Amino acid sequence: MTVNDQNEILRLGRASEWLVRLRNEPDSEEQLTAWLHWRDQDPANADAFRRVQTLWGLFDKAYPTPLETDVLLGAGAHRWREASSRGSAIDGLVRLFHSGSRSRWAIALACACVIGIAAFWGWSINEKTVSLAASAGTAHRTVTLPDGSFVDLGPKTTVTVDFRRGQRRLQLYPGEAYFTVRSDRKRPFVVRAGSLNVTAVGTAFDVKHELDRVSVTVQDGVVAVEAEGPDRTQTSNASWRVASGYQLVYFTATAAATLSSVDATATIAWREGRLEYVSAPLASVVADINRYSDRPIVIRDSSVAGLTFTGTVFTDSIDGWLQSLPAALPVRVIRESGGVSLASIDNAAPH
Amino acid sequence: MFKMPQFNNSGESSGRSASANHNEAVSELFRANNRALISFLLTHLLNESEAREVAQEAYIKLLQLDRPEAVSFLRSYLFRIAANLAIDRIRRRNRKDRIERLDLFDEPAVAVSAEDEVTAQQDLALVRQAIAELKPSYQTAFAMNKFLDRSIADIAAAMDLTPRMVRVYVTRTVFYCRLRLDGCSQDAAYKAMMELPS
Repeated sequence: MTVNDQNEILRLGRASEWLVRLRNEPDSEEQLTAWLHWRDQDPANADAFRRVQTLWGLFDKAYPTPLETDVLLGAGAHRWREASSRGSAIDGLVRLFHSGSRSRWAIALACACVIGIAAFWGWSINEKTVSLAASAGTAHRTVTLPDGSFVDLGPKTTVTVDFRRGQRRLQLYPGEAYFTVRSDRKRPFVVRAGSLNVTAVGTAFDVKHELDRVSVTVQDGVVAVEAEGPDRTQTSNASWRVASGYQLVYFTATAAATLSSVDATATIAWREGRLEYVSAPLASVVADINRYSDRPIVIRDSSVAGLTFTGTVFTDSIDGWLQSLPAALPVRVIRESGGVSLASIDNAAPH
Repeated sequence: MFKMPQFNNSGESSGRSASANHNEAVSELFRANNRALISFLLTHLLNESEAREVAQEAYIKLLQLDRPEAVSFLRSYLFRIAANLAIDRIRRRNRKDRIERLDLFDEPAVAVSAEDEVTAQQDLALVRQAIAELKPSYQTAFAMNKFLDRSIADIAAAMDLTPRMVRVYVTRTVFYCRLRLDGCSQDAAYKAMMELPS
């Protein structure tokens, strides 16, 4: 296609300007209104914008790796690339500390609490087993262990900690927790979930303990996973090593495990109030959500349980998710005094 | 993949008229602005399916809103929420994720013929050629904004230019490549690019 018409050329020029403006000042309301106005004015405007947008996407395919973009960045490529990653990290800190004195005090107070807890634990934990628990209401709760490791507890999750006799043994009951482990070669950090033992030296990993399976997702470092034999003796019949970026799912019934490459960041997004899914069975999405709420969602039809869901659930907006669900999947949301249930639209049973 | 909701909240909103009204307004808002919203999101995100995911997240956030004053207010609010969600996503991912995402989600919906494939490869070669025809300072400003997600102000500081010039460089690069892709000669595209009022 050749553009000859001077008007068409100008239109593409305007569209290019809009794209660069919107990209760089996404929250200017004035601009947004002006852009929507321009776009609605003439279908040709919307079309020109779409074409510029297509090109914008082509750039990613034309320069798919840093190696290729470095050519464009020229001699300063490495300097700029480094400045870029450093810049964004610093941005976060600056924002945190510019967000007002109230949050600064909150941070100071939180630090004081953590230190207090750690000091208290220093003497108490070596004496007995301590139990940590989080309820449905709390989004997540971070606890510092006496060795400097951290545990982020998911809702309705209990972890017991046993640091006696110079060891680090933890037990995760059904629920989910994320562990950031302080390296200590003499004292392996062992998390037990069901019949699985997950051992880390210095690493960060997530363990999710469900009724029929245990999932171990490693974000950093390597962990060793060991399954106990059916007679619960220590002689294990299977063991795996899971590296960062991988997830091991162990199925309790068959004592079999699958290992796959995953986006570990998505797996641990729950710590920031987001549950992220790619083609996940609706049944396991609902099981996760139910840990965040005191009013469980019930799935009525098995056909609904097997539907797959891709998207994000905000744990502070489970109701919003429920409302949008019938538009996305063939389900009916039934609200009753007892709670909420999901039914197939095919079984239009009266109630 | 997740389909964009159609928002026919049939059957289940009875007995909750206040919130049902709000839901109705939000659904209407989405129907009216869906295309514009996806288009807007694509300036930040990598592909259509990701834009649709964010649009759906924005929809959920909007449903949470207690007392919407008017739909005109809602509209700008919708875009602002969507923009924030998109920016959150960009911050969370690094370059590696970006490439994986491209591979994973940009599968064409219909089978691509060998002929289409050739055209696509030619387009990519043409894009690379067009960029190479531009001044190095244009290339650098563009790549920092497009591939490193650096702000106009950051690029201006790094390259010792005014923010206005940086924006002009990036805009011209996009405009020039579009014209070259549409079959304009090097001279014609260059002339149009320099005449672009800014």
